[in-house]
Amino acid sequence: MPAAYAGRILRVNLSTGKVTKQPLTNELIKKWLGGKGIGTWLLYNELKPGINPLSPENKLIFATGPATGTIVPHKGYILCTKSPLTGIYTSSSSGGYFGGELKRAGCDVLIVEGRAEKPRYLWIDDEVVEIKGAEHLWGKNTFETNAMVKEELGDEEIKVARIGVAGEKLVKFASILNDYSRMAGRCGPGAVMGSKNLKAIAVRGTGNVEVAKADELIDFMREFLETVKETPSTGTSYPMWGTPGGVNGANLQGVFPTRYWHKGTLKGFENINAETMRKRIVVKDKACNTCPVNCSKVVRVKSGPYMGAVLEGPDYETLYSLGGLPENTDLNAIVRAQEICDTLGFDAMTGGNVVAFAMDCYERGIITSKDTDGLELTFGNKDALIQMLEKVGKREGLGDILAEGVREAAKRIGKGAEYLAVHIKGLEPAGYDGRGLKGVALAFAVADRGADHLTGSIYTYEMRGDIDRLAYNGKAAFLKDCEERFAVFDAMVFCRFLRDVYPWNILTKVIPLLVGFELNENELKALGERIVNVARAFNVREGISKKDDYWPERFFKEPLPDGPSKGQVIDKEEFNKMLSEYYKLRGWDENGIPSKEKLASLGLGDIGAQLEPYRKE
Amino acid sequence: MVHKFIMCNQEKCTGCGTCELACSVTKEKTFNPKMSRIRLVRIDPFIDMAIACRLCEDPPCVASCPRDALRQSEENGVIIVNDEKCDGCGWCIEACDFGAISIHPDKKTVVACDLCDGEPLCVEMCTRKALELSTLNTLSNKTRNSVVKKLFRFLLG
Repeated sequence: MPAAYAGRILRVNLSTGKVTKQPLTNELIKKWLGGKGIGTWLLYNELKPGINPLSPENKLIFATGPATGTIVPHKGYILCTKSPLTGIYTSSSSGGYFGGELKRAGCDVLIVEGRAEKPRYLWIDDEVVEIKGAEHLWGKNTFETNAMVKEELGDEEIKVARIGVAGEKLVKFASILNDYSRMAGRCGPGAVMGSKNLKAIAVRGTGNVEVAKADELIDFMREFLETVKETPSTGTSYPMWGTPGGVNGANLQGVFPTRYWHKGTLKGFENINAETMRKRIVVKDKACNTCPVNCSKVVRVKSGPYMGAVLEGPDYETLYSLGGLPENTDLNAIVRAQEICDTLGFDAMTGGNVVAFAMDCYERGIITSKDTDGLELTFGNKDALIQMLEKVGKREGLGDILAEGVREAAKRIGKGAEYLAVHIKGLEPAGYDGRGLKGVALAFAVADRGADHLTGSIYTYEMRGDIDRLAYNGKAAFLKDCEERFAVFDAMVFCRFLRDVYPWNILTKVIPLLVGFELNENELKALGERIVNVARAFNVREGISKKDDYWPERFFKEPLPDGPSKGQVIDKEEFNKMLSEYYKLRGWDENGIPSKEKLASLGLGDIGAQLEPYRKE
Repeated sequence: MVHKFIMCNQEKCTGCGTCELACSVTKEKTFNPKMSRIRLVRIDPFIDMAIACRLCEDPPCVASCPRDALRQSEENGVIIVNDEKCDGCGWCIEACDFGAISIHPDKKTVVACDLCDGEPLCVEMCTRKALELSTLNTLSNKTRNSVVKKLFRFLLG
């Protein structure tokens, strides 16, 4: 067993109550490293194609990485499952301290399968694993659950991952929270947990995490922390402003999604930017395990109608989804709105999207006040936003339909709503308008979990002008390299926000110090490629192909009406060219299916054969 | 005699826990917060603060030990544990007002911060400089100086 691993997969079957401890094999480690690598591989192999994501056949795979629990800055775990929102592959990473605790409890990977008959929670106390009754926790919100479990187990330092009411009610984009409010947020893992009648997972781990070369690792860290300090993003921008630092830039480039994706600049964005946040509501800076960047801001609303609202956030993404999309420039209202999402336990990005989508429908008369129980659901109505979010989390009234996510909600509402709905493969996009960022246009289209900004994470480089944001040329190759590097990040369980300090040559330096075996740049790239390809293969088995790698029609037709990206659309012809080039670079066929040859060259020959039925003649 | 000890500025502390792992790797060559002599307390969501031995004058931990296993160094004030004598009864843990002395998970004897010969890695690696190795006297001097500088910042430019 290489260092940096506990050496074990813990498998809990909630249907039978059986707990098994399997060895984490050398072979698995060498080929997949950890995190998203191991998680994706296990998910692909253990799930049959076509299963219902909310059935007992789905699994929740919590995978830590070799960096988890060490002094090398890391997130905590990656959660792989089949998404009830999109019906395809998803992985969601979460920060905080839960992942480290899991590893110290001797568990690199935790697999939860089956379905308990009654509400249960899982208690992992080092070697001892118990499935305990959770009837008394059912109906409690995420923060109450956290406190009650710790109280009941008699140790405040226990780490608890849990769902709220939204997860219980199978809101399709319910999240799993750990620590205070770090979360596996996107694509609805909380609903999968709810469908299993699993309310919480409590962990206490007291074991050691070893690394291959501790002394050299400390020397590396001394140098690394200097680099972190000197690098603008990690040394100044994220620590001071957090992700909200992006609000100014996105508006000044006209790509800040506003008025439910009809505009690219928010009038009055200065009221919700990082500077205003820092001045008015930030109480403290917070960091995930051993992270020198402390991008997280804890805020409290100090006056006015939302006084007392407390939040770890908002982030750039929620400032966009609860600020830009519904045209809400009241920072305090954004805090209150996200507090509701976190308390009930659902993704505030999709949450903001579905409510803003309903606002769009309301303004066009597609839905009326009869549908909204009298709520005046117009853009800018912040109280309506807050009330509707609460209805979504509790599945009340129109909220019950919106809780299905924008794709399904639009289908049910009909009357032209489907043209308005913004999603790729069923996932509502992160806050970057692809019309003004051509690399983002491609990245969101091909990302493994739908319109996602993290899989390829090209947005940073376009937003800050490292590459020309309006050029189509060269983006496919740039994106491919990003996807591979960030797949390796996710295998290590590193955070995206350290992207500037982990170029390939630093990754090749730090990984051996942790795991004790060498991986050169080419080997790491191949590892990244393998992960990208297995995730794609998972999706191909679910029916995904080129037809799904597109933005909604209106992004090709309707130009951005204002701001510095005025007049921009995604040009269909140019887009298709980028897409074809991307497939070619990836070794995928013209329909976006990984070729047999490519898969064989990556040592994934079996998958090549399994995908045969999905290839066109 | 005024001793230096490791103090934590709670306003600067982000709760990252690097100090715990820096300590654990220095003292035990492994990563485990439970092995650390400095321990982080997180009271969500607003408070994070690390606590290490405060090298008290007349330390109650020393006085409470029924086996005379603890003594205070005359040179730098750290608590020295005699592993032969300590049997992990934990009276010193009860006596310490700060929870700054704890049982070693493997050895089952108590451990406390020994300042690592004046160059602790926890302080070095604290990116936000929340940790400081200092005496209470220099702390108050520093605080006075910085508040006066703040008051007259219009003169200092």
